Amino acid sequence: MNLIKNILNQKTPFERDSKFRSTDFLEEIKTLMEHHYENSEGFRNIIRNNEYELTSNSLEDLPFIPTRLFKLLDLKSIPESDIFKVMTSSGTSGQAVSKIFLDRSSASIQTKVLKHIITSCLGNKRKDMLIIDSEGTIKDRKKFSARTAGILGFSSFGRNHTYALDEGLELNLERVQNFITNYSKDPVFIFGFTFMIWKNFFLKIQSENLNVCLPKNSILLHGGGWKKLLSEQVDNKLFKESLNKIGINNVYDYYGMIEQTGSIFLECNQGYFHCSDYSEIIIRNTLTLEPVAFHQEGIIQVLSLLPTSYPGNSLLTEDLGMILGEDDCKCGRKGKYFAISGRMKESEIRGCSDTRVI
Amino acid sequence: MNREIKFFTSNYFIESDNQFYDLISSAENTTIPPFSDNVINFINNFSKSILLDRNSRNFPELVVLADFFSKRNTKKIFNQISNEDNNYVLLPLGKTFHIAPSNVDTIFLYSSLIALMCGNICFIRLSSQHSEQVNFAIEKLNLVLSQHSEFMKRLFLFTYKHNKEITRKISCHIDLRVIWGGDNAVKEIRSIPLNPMARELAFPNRFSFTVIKSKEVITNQSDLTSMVEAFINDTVYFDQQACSSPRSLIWFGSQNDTKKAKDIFWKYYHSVLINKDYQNTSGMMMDRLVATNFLSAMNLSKRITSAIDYPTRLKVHDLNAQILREFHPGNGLFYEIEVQHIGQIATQVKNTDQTLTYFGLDKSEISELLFLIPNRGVDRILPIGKALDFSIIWDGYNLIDEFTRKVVIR
Repeated sequence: MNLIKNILNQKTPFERDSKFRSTDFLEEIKTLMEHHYENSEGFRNIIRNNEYELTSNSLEDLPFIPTRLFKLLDLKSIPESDIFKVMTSSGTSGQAVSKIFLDRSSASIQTKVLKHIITSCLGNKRKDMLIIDSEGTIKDRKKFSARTAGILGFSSFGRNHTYALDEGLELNLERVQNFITNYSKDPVFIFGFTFMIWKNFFLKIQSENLNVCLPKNSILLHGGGWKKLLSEQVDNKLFKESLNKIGINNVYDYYGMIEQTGSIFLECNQGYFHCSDYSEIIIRNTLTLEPVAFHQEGIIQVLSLLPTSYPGNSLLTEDLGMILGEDDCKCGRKGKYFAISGRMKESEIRGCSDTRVI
Repeated sequence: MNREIKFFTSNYFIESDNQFYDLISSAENTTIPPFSDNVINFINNFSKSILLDRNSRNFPELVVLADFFSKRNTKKIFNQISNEDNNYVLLPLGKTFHIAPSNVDTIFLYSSLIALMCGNICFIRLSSQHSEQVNFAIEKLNLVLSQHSEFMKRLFLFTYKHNKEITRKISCHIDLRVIWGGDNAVKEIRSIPLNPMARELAFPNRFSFTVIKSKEVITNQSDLTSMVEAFINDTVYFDQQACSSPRSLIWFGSQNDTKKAKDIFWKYYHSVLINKDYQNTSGMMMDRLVATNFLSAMNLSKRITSAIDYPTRLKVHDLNAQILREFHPGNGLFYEIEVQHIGQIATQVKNTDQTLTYFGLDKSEISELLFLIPNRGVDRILPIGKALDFSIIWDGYNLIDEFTRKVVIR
């Protein structure tokens, strides 16, 4: 915990180099795993029954659990009475959703860390904020989805929050134009989910030739993944070029997941995702799960110092990516930087049945 | 309603707004007897068209299907039924509706084509997404249909998006409904009413396992290579996901014998596996990793080998937890359990268990076991290597009996 406090006191969360990962960071992760071993029965059973080692002296050799597990099990390291908030992922209907249990202090740490990472790109002063979503998404607090969490989490970095979409996720042009008229003196902050920014915002403006031009030097942050857009042949380059046309020239993607809320990976001006001092990534071979060298594609494992109320410090995702370097990005940030190349191919459903069970 | 039903066979002459009604009414009205020369020819030609196409080598399960419907095998089936007493006449049921599961495989074609062979009209609903092997089979069926146009009005392959209303409308015009699918899909379709006179067969999720007598492994090592090869064939086809693919190994014998037998068996297993054509994709590995973590979190399993190993072996002390059956992903994962007495095998069996493959058990042990099983579990008991062989008797039904009716004449 002291380590997080120390990092929070840094000017930016991108100052620690590779040596930090193999010393303080490693020790903190090991301490956290011991904590979960003591306090989460499910995690303890996993470690024992699989003969995983918690005492290794390298991050690569410490255990990891698949993120999919949070969809199947309630994994937590706190008593029922300490549960402050349960976050769930935004699964489509019928699909299982992740359940993440937070106590007060982990919820508060998530907020602080997210702020530290975001202000490094957004600046400390709150900007007028345009949210490419509908207000309804956050109104129903009972349905706390990843989208709700994202909007609420990022809203604290803006002011005069304006929702660009109506309930049916239709663009409300009048509201957007009023926002621009009212707040065009300074750069604004635009936030939304990648797919919705493209589909419900940009394409609508483009196809109907609407008069929308955002103030100079505005910053757009977006996340949520590229799966749907790549199937429509929209890549990051086209995405950025397109948003440029409506005056948004600072476009940053972020990579994050509900299982590690807070310690997100932010895109830099060179176009790479960066680990912050709160996080680390390891890329593993898709069959052997051995760590692979830089520039080789594999499964992304994400590590975070944050989770204390649930055993989510070391997770194996089903995303593919590659590390492009460490401590030497031209943007000036320390730590590893990486690119995401897509999602692992699922196994086929075969035989007589037709349901995916795991 | 218009064009909600999409046809794969070339009989898509249905153009009006009431497709489902036209679908039913466009079917042939005349009755043909079961196993008529015409239908046997049609089925045999379908089989031939698969076997003669070199591309079928990419789909070993279709070659097995074609073999089942070959002239030789259909004759064998016909001889079995025609030897029975003749104080009745066997007739088809009429219109049959077959609902295939939404996966890549072709197992549903067995029951559909047996229904056709019995003289029935077959409406087959495929899932909207299908695989190369299903496409290959459809292509062959269309080819054979073009040579046997009389079957254009007897065999219909089509799809429609999940739509209870269409299923309901078709269901009230038919004499038999056959459902393949996961438990939830089967439950949902079964809730849609049928004609009072209609029959229904459902093939929901099942679980299968292998029993090995440890002592026989130790004393019969000369047979082990072929036994292990047969076991591998049972488990690598369909990525261990067919209902009858063994997913669990029950070791039967003294602790000492079982310890030795396991070592010997798995040593042989790996020496044979090296030369086998099997797939182990990263998606399969990930499923094993998730299952392994999930089950171990609930203390239901312990590692023998890890998820990155193929196969992944998990020690289980009691197979009775339903979760072990529901969450087994196939894809190269084995539960292993040790028992000392035959009665302990029986107590591991659940209602949903289908195929028991065995090695080293003799006839008296098998019949002893069968009567110790305290529920309706186990529909097939076969030597290792026969798990995936389709037969006219499936899930406890004789399909020919189910797809025909007997008219008593005295």
